[in-house]
Amino acid sequence: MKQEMSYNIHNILKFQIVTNKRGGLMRDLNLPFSFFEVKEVDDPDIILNIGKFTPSNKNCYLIDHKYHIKDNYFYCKDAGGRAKWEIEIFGFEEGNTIINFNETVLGLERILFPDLLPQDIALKPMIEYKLGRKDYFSIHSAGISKNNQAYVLVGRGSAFKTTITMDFVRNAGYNFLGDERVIIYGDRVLNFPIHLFLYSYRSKYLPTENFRNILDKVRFVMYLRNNSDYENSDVPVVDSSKLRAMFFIVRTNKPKVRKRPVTLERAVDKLVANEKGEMFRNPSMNLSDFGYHYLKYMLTYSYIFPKSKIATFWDDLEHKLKEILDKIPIYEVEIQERYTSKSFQEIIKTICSD
Amino acid sequence: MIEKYYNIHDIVKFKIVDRTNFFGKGNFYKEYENFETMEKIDNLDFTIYFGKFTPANHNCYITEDKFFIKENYFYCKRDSYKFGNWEFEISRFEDSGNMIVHYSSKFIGYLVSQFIIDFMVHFNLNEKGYSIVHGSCVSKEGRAFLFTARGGAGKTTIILNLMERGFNLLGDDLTILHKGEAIGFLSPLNIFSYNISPLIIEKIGFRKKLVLSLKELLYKMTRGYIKLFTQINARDIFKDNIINSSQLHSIFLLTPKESIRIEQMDKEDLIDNLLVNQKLDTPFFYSYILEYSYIFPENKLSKHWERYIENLTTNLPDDIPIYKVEVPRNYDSRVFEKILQFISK
Repeated sequence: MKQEMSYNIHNILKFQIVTNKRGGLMRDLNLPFSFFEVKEVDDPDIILNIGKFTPSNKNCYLIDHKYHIKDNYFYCKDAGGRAKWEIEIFGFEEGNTIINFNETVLGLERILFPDLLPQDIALKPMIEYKLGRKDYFSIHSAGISKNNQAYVLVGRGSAFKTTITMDFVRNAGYNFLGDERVIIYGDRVLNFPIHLFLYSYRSKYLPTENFRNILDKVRFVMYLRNNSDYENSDVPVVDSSKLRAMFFIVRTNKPKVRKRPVTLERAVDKLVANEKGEMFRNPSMNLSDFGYHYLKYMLTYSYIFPKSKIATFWDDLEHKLKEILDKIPIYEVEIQERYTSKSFQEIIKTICSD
Repeated sequence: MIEKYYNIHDIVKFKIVDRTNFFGKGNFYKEYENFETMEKIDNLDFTIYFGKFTPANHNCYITEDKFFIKENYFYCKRDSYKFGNWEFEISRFEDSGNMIVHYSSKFIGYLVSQFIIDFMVHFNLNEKGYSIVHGSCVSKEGRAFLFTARGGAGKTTIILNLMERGFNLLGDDLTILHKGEAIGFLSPLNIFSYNISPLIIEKIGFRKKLVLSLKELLYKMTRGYIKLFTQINARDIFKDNIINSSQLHSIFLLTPKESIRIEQMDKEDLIDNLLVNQKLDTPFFYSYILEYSYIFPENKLSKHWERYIENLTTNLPDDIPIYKVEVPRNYDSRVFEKILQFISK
């Protein structure tokens, strides 16, 4: 039986996931965008079909023996880590998009979150691409807000973005916009919670974002089994706020940490490096190694169509970010390698004194 | 301990100090064997040490919990691909010359160590204003013809065919470009069942032929997961038909589609193509550069790709013909005839 799920991100982007599989044992992990789930959507921007399909890859360029490319179309068979998949994208560059994805995953993940891989590998980057094309920039960062003032905390992995937002929310009365991504549009920051109940569990039961032991994990599974109502999560999610300031959080093993202002030019370079760098990170549940798949698909498409919107995507992003970040203060904030209770006191002092 | 010196046309010079006894690194030595020199070199661009090392990763910024970054310094605590894993450290890359690289791996990770040496060579060429491009190059009567492509477009097939017609070889996989000149980069021919030509079959021994068949069997059995090329030194086969440099005459960008079709393209598009090609060939360093440029967006390493574009703009002449060639997936004699037509133009 086909199961169809519909999503609406702030009325900017609508998409559907159609799958044959059962929901998985851990819905929040299996369906990272559930926060945006709605009953139905008309005219979705993206449809992700999970399951077997027959590709329409006639008349294509064939690159590296495996990437089939024609105008606005991409198809390949690929593999990484414990997963193998076949992916076809109509509307790769523009227009409405259909993604067909068929995968084989070995291991427990297949039972726990059977639909996660296609969302990690293809849907997530496609959402970011489409949002960007509409001038809504999905930024790899955390976001918190108070009194309609939003602070965006940009950081590469392991910069304690999640932990810091947890502390802001539970210890300082801030609202939550996102711990992995937020959307910046003009001078507004829109929420973009991903795996919201994972975040909710962490902030309820853990001192930092890291699971301490197996018991934490077991408790987490129980927690997910009992919680699925996204409207009534304990996290104080706010819809959007005015962009007040941006901070680049960077971990260091230097003895002394500091805060300093960043020029617009440097900030935008860092943001773009952060977005591209993020495309190299493993899909969230380590289903696949060296997770550079979608960026590779984009590059290969640009190889054939060097003037396409995919090829110019990053340069366009750079230009547009320069325009919208022109008026806000931007800082680099160094934090100690180890996160302690003192760390948060320092961070909140630094951030609130901008 | 093994110490070897390499000199690439007096442009980039480096040394390898191998303190391991892992037997599988042979491939690396093969890759650059045509540039190995017996003389000791003093003004080295970089030195690579293989084997255990203690990283100097204090006072660093840390990203992804595994990259340690400070001015002029990059250390990767661990990374892995398929069955290999490694750690490495590069320092002094913001200076000119004398960069130091340490690379350590458990067992099989040395098999993939190639990527780090390749990047060091490419980075140094780039810094000195030379462009390395993914393409094979042949020459006749002082005119060089470059065939650039991604994998599977038949670069090797075309040049092997042209060599049967009296062309000389500059490079099979990579070519250096500098101010209108093509400079040879003689890496081993990567032979797999689909690109072996009669010329090669004739010249390789029984053992190599057997190895080739075994590798193809392995490829089929693992459904493409393990693909091992057989490396054959072009110098062993072509001896007198190898030259070091030649004036660039025309460029062909090959892309496999249905049938042969040739049209002219402009230099700017070609540069975009060559850049993407190079990035796709350098996945690990593409990622490491991004980590470094997140911390130091203005530094030399972060500007690697921008510099690559600048160099290509200078090194590719404005007035030579550049062709985009759609080629069929299986070559027949018509393909060669058509390309020859354009070569003799």
